[in-house]
Amino acid sequence: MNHFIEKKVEPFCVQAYHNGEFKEITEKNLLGKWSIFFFYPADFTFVCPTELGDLADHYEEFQKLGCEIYSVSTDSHFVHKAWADASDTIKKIRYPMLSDCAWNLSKQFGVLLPEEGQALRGTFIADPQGVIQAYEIHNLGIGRNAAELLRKLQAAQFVAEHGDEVCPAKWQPGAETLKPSLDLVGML
Amino acid sequence: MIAPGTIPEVSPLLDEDMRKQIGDVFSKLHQDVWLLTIVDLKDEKCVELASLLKDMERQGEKVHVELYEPGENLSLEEDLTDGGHLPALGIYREGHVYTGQSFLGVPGGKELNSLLIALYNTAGTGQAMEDQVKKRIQAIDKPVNIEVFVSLACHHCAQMVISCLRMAALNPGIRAQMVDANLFPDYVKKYGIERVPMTVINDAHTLMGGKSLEEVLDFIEKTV
Repeated sequence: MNHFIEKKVEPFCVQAYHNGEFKEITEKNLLGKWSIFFFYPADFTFVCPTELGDLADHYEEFQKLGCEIYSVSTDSHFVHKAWADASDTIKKIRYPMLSDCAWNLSKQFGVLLPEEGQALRGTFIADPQGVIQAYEIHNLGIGRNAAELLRKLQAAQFVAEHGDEVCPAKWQPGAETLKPSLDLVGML
Repeated sequence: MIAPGTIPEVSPLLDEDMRKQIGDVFSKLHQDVWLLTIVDLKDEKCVELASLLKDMERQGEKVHVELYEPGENLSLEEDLTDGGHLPALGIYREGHVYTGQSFLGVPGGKELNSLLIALYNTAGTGQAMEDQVKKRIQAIDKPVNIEVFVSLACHHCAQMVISCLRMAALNPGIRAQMVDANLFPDYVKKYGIERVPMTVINDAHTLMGGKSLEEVLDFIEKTV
């Protein structure tokens, strides 16, 4: 089965609604900092503002970690603006909201439902080279959690900095000494 | 001195297969080597370590174990305990010449591999190493103190311990110590240890995760 890990984000060019303005975002915007693509099915729906609002509440923490968030739906950037004008939750969003009305991004990231013309709830973490290091794809009714996404970003950044030969430690004072396990093959 | 018979010479940490493998490693040693430890008889980890070492000693001719009570050998405590941490174990050559290689904690789990390889590298042929790398290690002319914080279940840790101890064995100015962080909450707190291996050099420079010996060497050359 194909997957997206270590896949470089392919060139794209989309319109975005960002802090009251329209702007163009391309793959070049990804270079030099961490990025999160946050797909959701459509503007003006109920679970979406909850998730996007949760992300907006944590946005500063993502920014501190050198990460930009891009929310993505197949709505146009004009609809994003209309939604922001109509919803207090969406109004407080400070990250760029991308319009994937040509479906290029949704197809590229494998989240497009062509019959509905909507995207599944996919979240993709790309490193500063634009290479995907982690992702999750939920079915439409299953929401995501910004705090958990922040933890995943931190883990991805830790591995990028220190390598993956590391074990999380759980300290248990008074634990019995682990019985030795000898594995000297090829060592001597 | 600890009276003979005080410490059980059969350790529950070892089984017959492990004893055979230890014996195989010891049969490859061509110099004598000493394992010195300080045993606080009231501390069950100290007794556990002493028992493991006494059991290992029985598996070959070249490895000698000496047990000291606290306060009995102050230079040993200075070498090994970093201000009173026990259990502690050091690898010494003839005449109590310290090799700079030590363990704080009981080398159970993956870390028995580290101890055996350290003995092989100290008193046997040693693992293959490029001359160029050996020369770089020997050329380090500043004091280097390496602490490798591990957990005994960590499969990336032993290789890191082996690499760092190897460097200590090759350069008298380098000291390297495995520390089982689980036994020493003061280190966990001091360095904020959440992941292992975490390596701290000269109490100042931190290296996270398992690295090759060359990567550790690059890091030391750059930072120390």
